[in-house]
Amino acid sequence: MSSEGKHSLPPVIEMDSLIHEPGRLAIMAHLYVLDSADYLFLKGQTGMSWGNLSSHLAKLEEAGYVEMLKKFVDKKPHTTVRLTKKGREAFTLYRSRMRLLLEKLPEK
Amino acid sequence: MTAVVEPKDIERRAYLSYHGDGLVDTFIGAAVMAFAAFIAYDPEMVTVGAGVLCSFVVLYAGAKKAITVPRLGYVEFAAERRGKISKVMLMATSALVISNVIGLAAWMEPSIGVFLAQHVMLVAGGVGGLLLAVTAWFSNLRRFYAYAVLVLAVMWLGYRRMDLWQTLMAFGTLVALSGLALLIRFVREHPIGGR
Repeated sequence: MSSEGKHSLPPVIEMDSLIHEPGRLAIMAHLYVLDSADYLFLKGQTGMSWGNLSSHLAKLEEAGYVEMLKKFVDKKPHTTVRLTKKGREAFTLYRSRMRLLLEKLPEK
Repeated sequence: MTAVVEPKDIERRAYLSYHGDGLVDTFIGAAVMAFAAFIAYDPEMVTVGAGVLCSFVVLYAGAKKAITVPRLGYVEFAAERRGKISKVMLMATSALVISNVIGLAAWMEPSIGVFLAQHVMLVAGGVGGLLLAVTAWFSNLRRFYAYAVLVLAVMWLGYRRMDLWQTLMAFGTLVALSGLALLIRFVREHPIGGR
């Protein structure tokens, strides 16, 4: 790691490893730009399997980054997912740190 | 090289996949055909025909729920996108209101009626093309630019050669067929039950 200021990188260890996982990153990125979406829509957009998607969403929900909204549509139970305030702030922070990290990389 | 997530690209892809079903094209084409049939039957029924167009909005919403949602899932776009869609709806409603006002003015002032009767296709083509181009701009559905050019071309070709209802029927048929082609492809690519 360079000791010169212009090449010093932000600590990679501060990156949110929960969001940094590719599958969860894809989910968070989609929910960041959408108000809410159901499992089927997220599955189609991210290309994940049902099991993978459920597993990642469970981890994100446990961390308080997403919330599940259950309601009835045409008398059938329907679940949609959206980012919580904490999740939105976490993703914004992750994005800015990632951008900073990549911008600080010297050109080869 | 950048691996920075670009939210705008993700949102745009999600939005385009949701509207790649061809339903809006099919219903716009069918609505224009229905309108053409109304004025072919009785040109003075143009106001009634315009009112019928509004019912297609309800039919479109129902078709979206029956065809697209079971295949793609349910999504609510963010306020910024909803705002753009609202602008398109407002524009379409304004166009309908203005056309009715023009119709009323033509009825009250015969000289306006004479002018419109002589150049109705150019006026309709210009207004329709502008409406479609602005819709394309706000909705990011680029194929609507092609529809804007199409309506201008159809109206220009039909000017002084065909009746207005014939050119509208031709335009509506082409758009509806384009929509149906998209719809067939969409249904094949997205079977119910997911991939």
